Amino acid sequence: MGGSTHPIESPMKQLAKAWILLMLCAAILAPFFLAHKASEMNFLNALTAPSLKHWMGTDSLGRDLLSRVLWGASVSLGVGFLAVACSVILGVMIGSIAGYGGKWWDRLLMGFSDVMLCFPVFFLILAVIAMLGPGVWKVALIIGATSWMSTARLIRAEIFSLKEREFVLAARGFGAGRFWILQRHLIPNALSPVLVNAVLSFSAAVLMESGLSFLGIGVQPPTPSWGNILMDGKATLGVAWWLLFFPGMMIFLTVLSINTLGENESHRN
Amino acid sequence: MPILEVKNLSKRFAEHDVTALDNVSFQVNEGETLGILGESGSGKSTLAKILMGFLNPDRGDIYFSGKNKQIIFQDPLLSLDPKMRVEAILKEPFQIKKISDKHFLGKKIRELLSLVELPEAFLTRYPAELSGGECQRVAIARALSQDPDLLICDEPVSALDLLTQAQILNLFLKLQKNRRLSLIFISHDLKVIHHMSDQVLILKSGRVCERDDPYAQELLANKLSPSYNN
Repeated sequence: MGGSTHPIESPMKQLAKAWILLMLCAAILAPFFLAHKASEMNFLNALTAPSLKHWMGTDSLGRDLLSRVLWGASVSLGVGFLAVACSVILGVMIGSIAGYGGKWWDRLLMGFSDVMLCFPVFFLILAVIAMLGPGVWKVALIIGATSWMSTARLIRAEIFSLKEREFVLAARGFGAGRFWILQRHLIPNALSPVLVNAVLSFSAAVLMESGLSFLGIGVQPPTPSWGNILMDGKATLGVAWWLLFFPGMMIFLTVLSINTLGENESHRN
Repeated sequence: MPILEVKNLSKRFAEHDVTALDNVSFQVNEGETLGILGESGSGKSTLAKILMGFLNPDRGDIYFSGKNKQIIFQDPLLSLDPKMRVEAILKEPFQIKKISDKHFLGKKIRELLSLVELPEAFLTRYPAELSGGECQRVAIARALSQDPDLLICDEPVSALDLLTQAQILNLFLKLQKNRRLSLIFISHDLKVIHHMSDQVLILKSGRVCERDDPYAQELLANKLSPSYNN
């Protein structure tokens, strides 16, 4: 609320913010400027080490690695964003119904959430992709559809503590229905911890996408993602270290930055 | 003429093995104030929640012959949504009733603010930016927006400092006089009850204490504090 004062940001948080901003710019601009460069093959230039012409070197097909890594940012972050949006929407809907729909809905939905939590998510995703086939949007939606449980539990717990508060009772006194109370009072007041959780899930989704693409069942070539660039690089690990180092650093720095910002928010709440 | 009649109201919370209300009967006359006095845990707030329909009684009947009843809560900050500005808080009861005419709402909200003696500049503030007394005035304005004929005040001044208490109590008296409001004034504070009430109901462990009961006599023998006199 209005009166809070912000302490001076730590250098770590400032660096994290700057990195995320840089990656977002890359993710937004890369498809417009680098699509051609990132897919242009030149076998004479294959596997050249980082130089002034190719800052991150080239891959086994002679494509410029910097362009591919920057374009990969748009795919990896896009998948992360869509996956988190999907998991937050599902989690908020399921958690709200469980928290405010009465005992029967609570038992049913939380039972379902327990069942979902029992599955090893990675293998669940593998099974679904085996059935539906790989693809950027499918990967994002599947990650989202299998990671809503923590959001649902957070929302449900918040709604339990909020629903007997006086401002909710006052709205009931004015004749407000359940849906009104849920969307005007309960969800807006329950959302802060969910947003912190969403930031942390975002980095988990980026990692998950990288893992799936590394295994060859996520984002399919020629579209680059950080995961499938890594996968390409593993075949030439002995001669071209840069193919693993740069995309690996991208994943590492991005996930670290997102976690740093998320941790910071959770302390503030 | 009674606006509210309560007969043999009982409520038990089985999970805590507590009888909150036991055969409580009373009536409130039009334009008058019924003070309900009792210690913590005597069933006062349960009674208020049942009267508002937030809880169902196990037994008993409630006859309300007015058009609308509203409640004012003990903690003024908790009774306002922290994510809403004062303007949105005051508009909400109208929006629930699907009244969205901007001109009408603007006029009505200005009227409500002047009724509770708050400046228009408060409309853009959040509850956390107001004092306890100011929050309670907003809560009163919100309750008055529905033109209630019965206002249930559940310890409305016990979270406020003495000076603010006196201001809010006098505001209640002024509103009651101008709008012929009936009030149910719940408190554990005898002085407040004396200052506000036409009749007094004493609750002890969920039961109504008669006037000849030693507990009631001991309570009522106390003197009224002069700080609440108009």
